[in-house]
Amino acid sequence: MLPLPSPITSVPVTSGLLCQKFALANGLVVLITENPIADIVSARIFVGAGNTREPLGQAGVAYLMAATLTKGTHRLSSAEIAEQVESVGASLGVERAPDYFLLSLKTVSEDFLDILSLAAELLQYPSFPASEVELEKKLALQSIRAQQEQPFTLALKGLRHSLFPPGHPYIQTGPGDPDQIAQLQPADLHQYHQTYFRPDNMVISLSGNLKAFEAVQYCQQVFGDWPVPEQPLLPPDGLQPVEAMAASMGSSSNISITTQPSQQSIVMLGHLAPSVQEPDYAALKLLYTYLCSGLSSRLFVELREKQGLAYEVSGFYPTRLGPSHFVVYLGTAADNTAIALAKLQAEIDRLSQQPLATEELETAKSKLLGQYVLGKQSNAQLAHLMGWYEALGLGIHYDQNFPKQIASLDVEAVYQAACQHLQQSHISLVGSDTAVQPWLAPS
Amino acid sequence: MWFNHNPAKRWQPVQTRGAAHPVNQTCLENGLTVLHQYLPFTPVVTVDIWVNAGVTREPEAVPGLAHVLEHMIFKGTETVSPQEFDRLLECQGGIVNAATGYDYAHFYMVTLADQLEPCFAQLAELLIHAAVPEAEFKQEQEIIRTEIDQAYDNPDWVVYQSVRQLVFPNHPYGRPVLGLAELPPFLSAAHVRDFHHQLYQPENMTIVLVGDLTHEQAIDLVHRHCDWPHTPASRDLLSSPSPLNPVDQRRYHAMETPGIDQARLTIAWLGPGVTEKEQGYGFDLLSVILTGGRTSRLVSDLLEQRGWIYDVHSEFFLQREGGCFTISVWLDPKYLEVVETVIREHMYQLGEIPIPEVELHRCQQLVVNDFIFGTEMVNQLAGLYGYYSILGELEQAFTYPRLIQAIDPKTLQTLAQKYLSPSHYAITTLQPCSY
Repeated sequence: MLPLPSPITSVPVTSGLLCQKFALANGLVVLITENPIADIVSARIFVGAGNTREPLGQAGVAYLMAATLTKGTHRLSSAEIAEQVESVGASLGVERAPDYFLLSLKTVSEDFLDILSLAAELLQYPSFPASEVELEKKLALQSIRAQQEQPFTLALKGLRHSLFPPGHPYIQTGPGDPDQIAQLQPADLHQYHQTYFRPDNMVISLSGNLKAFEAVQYCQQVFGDWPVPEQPLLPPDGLQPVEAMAASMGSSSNISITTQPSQQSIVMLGHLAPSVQEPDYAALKLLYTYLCSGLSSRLFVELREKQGLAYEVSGFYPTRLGPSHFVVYLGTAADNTAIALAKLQAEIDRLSQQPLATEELETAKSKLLGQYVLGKQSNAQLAHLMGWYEALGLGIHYDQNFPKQIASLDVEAVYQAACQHLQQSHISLVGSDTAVQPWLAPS
Repeated sequence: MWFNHNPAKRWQPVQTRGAAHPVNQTCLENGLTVLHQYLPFTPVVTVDIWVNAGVTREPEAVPGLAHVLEHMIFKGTETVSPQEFDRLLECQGGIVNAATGYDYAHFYMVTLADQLEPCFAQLAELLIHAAVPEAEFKQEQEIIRTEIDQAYDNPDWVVYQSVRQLVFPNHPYGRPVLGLAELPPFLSAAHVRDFHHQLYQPENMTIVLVGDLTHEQAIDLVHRHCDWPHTPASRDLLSSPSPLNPVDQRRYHAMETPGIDQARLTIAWLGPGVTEKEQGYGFDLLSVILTGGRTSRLVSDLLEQRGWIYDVHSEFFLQREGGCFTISVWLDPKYLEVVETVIREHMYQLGEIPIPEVELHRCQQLVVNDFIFGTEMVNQLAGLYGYYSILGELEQAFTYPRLIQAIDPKTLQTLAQKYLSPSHYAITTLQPCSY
C-alpha cells in the first residue's frame, strides 16, 4: 500500500474542530474535519461540473446525470444500488448546481466505508441504462411543467430570462430546456461523464466521527486507482464578468409579466451582481443581509411590519463562480401589487441615494458574522462549506478570509457597491389578470 | 460480495449526540416544566418554549385564534417594543421562529452561547406578558390574510386540508391551523388577549434549553426572567372535543383547479393517538415500508415499475387524540382511478401477509438512522424534547430507536388490520381544468 500523504494545509473551523486538506497522487483532494461528538459521518463529494459545463444544445444533461447516476453501474442494477444504501439506513443523494455537481452521503460511522465504496463505483462506472434514462427524462419534463404551478418559480423564471443572455447556464430554474432534454441519449450522459468526472476535478469533503488517517486511507482505497485522463479540462462557460454580460444584453426589456389565476401576486426585482471572485462580493452579501435577512431586516420591518404588505418578503444573492443575481421579492394581496412594487423599488433605490448609517452597517456586519458561526453546527454543514470553498477554487482558508472581508467593510465601500450594482432594476410580476392589468396595457 | 449485509449487528443501540449528557427535567413550584441539556461542544444555545395552546384549544367560534396569537406574541409588551427582540437577537446572528400546530404552539430561538441572557429575557417577557396592541393587531390581520392567500395558492396544501376534513369531521383536527379562508370578521384583540391569558400559564408550558450552558445557569435564567403575574388567571375548564371515529366508508372529495398540470391524490386514515405510543411508532415504520426510498413498496411499484406516477409520499402525524396517516401521490390525471386501486391492494397486503424480516430490518434501520441524523443539532434536540414533553412524555424522545427496533411483523400486520382498511378511508383528488 502507498504511504499516506501528509496534510497540505489545515484551518480551524468551529468549536476547536480542524479541517485538514490532503491530495492523492491522482489529484483528488480530500478534506476531513474530525468531529467525534456524534457517531455519524457526512460526506460531500463535489465535481467541477454542473450547468456551466453543459454543452450547447444540451441544457438539462447535468440534471439528467444527477437523476440517473444512482440507477446502475457496470456491476450493479438500480434496485441493487437502492438496496445497498437503504438496507443500512444511509442517505445518498445526487444533485447538480449551477457551478458544480454534488454527491451527498450520510451514514453511521461503521457503515461509512461500505457506502463510500458504493459512491466511488457510482462516480467512476455509471452505466446510464436506457430505460432509466427514459424514465428520468419523463420525470424531468413533468417537473418542468409542474413549475408552472408555482408562482414564485414563474416569477424567478421571468426575471432570469430578463437578466441573463439567451442560453446562459444560470437562466435555468429547473431541470433544463424541455426540447433539449427530450433529445438526450445515454451516449450524451457518458460523454459528459467522461469529460468532467475525473479525480483531478473532484473534492471529497468529510466531517464526522472519523480520523484523518482513516479518511485518507479510505479514499486512497476506493479512489486511488482512478487514473487522470490525458486530455485537459475545459473551462466552464458563461463566467465572464458582470459588466461584460450587462453590455452584451443591450437594450432588452427589463420587465416580465406572467398571468396566473392566483390569490396573491409575486413582485420580484433583480440585478446582475458580482461573482464570488469579484471585489464587491462581500459588500453585496452585506447589503443582502441588511435588506433581507430575518425579522429585523430592512424589508421585513418596512414592508411587512410597518406597511403590512406581505406575509413573506425576502430575497437571495446566490454565491456563484460567474455573474450572480441580487433579488428581492414579496408576495402580496392582488390589490396591493402596484404599491408593493413601488415600495420595493424605493428600498432598492434608497441604497444608492444615501449611504447606510454607521450603526446600520455595524448591525448588518455583526448579524452576518454571527449567522456564519451558527451555520457551522452539523457535520453536513461543515463538510458542505469546506468542500464547496475548495471546489469553487477559493480554498479552505476562505472560511477565515470571508469573515475578515466582511469585518473590514466600511460605509463608503458598501455605498459604492450599491451605486455600481443596484441601478436599473429588472422587474418580474406574477398574478391574476386583474392584478397585473396595469402592466399589460399596450404601449 | 464486497458488501456484507448483516442486519443482526444493527441491534446494538447507537450512540447519539444527546447521550453524552442527560436531559434534566425540572418542574418548578408554579407548574412550569424546564428541560435542560448541557452540550459543551458547540458555541450555541437553543431555547424552545412549548405551550399547550394549539388549534384544539381554540373556542369553536374563533377558528385561527391560536395562530393569530402566535403572530401577536412578537408585537411586544409594556416593556419590550415590537421588533426590539428581533433586533437584539438577530444583530448577533441569532434566529427566531414560531409555529402553531393542532396540539401546541412553540417559539424558538438559536443564539451564540455568550449572547443568550438578554435574548432569553426578552423572549420570556414576550411570551408571558404579550400586550396585543390594537394598532399592531389590525396591521397583522392583513399579513395573516396574505399568508392564507399564499396557502390557498398551493395545491398540495389545499388537498391536504381537504383530506383532513374528511378524516376529522366536526373536530378541530379537521380544519386548517390558519383558520378558514378568512379570519372571523368579529375577531378582536380582546379575543387574542383572553386566549393568551388563559393558556400561556406556567403549568401549561415547557421551556427547553439545550447547548453550551450548565444546569445551574439554565435554572437561574428561568428563575430570574420568567415571572407570571400574581393574579391567577380565570381558566375555563377544557371542553373535551368530540371523540374521534375511524373513517367508516370511502369518503371522497374531488376538486378541480386551473393552472396546474399534474393531478394530486391523497388518501388518509385515522391513526392511534399519543397514548398508544408504540402503535404510533409502528406507523412511522409503515410509512417507510410504503414510500421510504426506492426499495419501498409504492415507489418501486407505481413509480419505478409501472411509471404511472411522478412521486409518492407517506407520513404519519402523531397527534394527542388520534394521528393522521396519509399517502400523497403526484400523477397524470388519467391514472387517478387505477392508482387508487393499486394503493388499496398494497394496504390489503399489509393486513394479510406479514412483512418479510429483511424488509422490516431495512425499514427499521432507515427510521432509526433518520432519527439519529435528525438529532444532530441543538435546535433539533430541543424541538424533540419539547414536542414529547407537551404531547406525551419526555421519555419517548429516548426510547424511540429501541422501540422501533423491537417492532415485529405480527405487530405491524395487526396495526394495518386495525387502522388501515383497504375499503374505508378518506380520499381527495385534485385535477387540472381549463376554465
